[in-house]
Amino acid sequence: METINYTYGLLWYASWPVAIYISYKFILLNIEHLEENLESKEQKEDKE
Amino acid sequence: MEEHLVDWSRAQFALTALYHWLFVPLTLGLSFIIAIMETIYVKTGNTVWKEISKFWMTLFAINFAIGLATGIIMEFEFGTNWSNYAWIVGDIFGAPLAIEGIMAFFMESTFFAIMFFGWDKVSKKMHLLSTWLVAIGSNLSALWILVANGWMQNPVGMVFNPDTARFEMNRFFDVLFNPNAYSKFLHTVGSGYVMGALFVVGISAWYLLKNKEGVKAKKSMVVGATFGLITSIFLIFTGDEAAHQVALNQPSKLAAMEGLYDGHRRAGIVAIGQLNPDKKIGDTQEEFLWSLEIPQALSILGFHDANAFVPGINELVYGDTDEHHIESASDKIAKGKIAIESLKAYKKAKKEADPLAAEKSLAQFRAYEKYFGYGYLENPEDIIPPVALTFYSFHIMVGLGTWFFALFFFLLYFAMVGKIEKQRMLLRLAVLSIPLGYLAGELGWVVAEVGRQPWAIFEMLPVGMATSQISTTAVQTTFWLFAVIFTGLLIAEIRIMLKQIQIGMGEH
Repeated sequence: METINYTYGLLWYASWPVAIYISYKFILLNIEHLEENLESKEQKEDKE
Repeated sequence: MEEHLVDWSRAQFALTALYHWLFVPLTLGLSFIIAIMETIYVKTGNTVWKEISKFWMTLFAINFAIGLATGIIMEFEFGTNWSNYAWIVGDIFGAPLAIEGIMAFFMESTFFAIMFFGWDKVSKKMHLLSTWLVAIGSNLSALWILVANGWMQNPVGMVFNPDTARFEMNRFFDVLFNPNAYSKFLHTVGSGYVMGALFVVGISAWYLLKNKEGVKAKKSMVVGATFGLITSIFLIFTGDEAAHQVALNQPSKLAAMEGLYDGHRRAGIVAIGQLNPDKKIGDTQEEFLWSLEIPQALSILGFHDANAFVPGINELVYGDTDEHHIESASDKIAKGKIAIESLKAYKKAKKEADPLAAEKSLAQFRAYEKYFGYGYLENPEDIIPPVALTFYSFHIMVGLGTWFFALFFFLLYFAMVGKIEKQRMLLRLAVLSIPLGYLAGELGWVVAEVGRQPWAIFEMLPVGMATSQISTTAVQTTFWLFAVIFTGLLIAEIRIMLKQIQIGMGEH
């Protein structure tokens, strides 16, 4: 009978919320950057 | 067992599972995307994000309701069409399935109601919490289904009770932390995240092509492309682990996935190729008509060792006891038949109240127990799953996954530099990639389930022994009935979604 390594399994399961959290942080970062871009584009169009 | 009954029972379950899997990945991925969008709304107070969240939530709700209907039918099919299976492994399979039911019906459904109907009835924070709990609940319900499926691929944490002829769980945490369970769970939910991201970028691309919903579509595009890109990387790691576990526990599946007939050290992966349709197990014909191979990659992927030996179909069928200690399938079948006869003798001895004979038969059964399932197979070649279907499904899935990664990368790049609306071809490709995401997900399941053949439970229970003793006509009738109903549900979902997409993001 195969011996199951619980620690190894636990670490793999833990990668699930980590992946979601990393995605969330990158989305926040990219959205912040996008909104700055959209704002500066808007200001540029207003000036023109 | 009537041959057609097994085929039709398999066809019906495959039909239900394939339709169910059209709805589930979007639920898994879109639920987290919406939760992140709503979090941005709550953090910034910007009502544009509320409108964006509500729009994607409407599409999510349509998909969720129809997905639930197909899922319920599938669970009933274990009892109606696979009652032998349910009897033999119900003790193990039932526990995760019951937890899944609680997760799906109580957690998801309760918070889904608050998420969908509670916008102006509960506080912002309570609403956000509900949205996150729907996402976590739907993914946790997938966890338990995949723990059950992982056990079917690699049965652990159980003993066979010869008195009841049932497998019984004796180590719950072995079942939960089974490497095939966590690798399958992470890879499957990861594919759902990519599907959710493809859905969001595809529809956002359609708006941009139509010059509609400019700012909201761009914001959705950035959320979708970022989520898709990160989860695509996650999918590569989990796919590697899933392939590693297949190599360790299901060598016949790996050989079929790679069309590998003759095993060898430093085995390569066929990046692209065409199988020789005339190739038969044991003959000397070439495996491929043409192929492009990445040297040593299969040994590395499967065993994390470039020098590792990867057994091929011929070694698995005919054995290679001298060099690699691989037993032939015919030996395993012979030992399996001894196990079956020993079990019969044990039961007879128990019935006749002969404890000595019972003890002797049981000892013999225990010696051959691990071959028990093989005793029900007729031919050594039966241990190999359909090679062409497994091979092409696997390679097309991997190819599509690579394309999605590139798509997310370029969409995100052009969205971030403010030139996304000018990339008309890329936007069209994003729209066209929505059905490709569904295709990749379905192919993944084909690899997992067709690659497990001929077993319902790997090396324990062949599919032929798992079905219910019902009439083939009954299964055929319900097959066509389900096919019509599921197609109707799918058409209804697509039409309702298209209508909502045409209405736009501001009217929800």
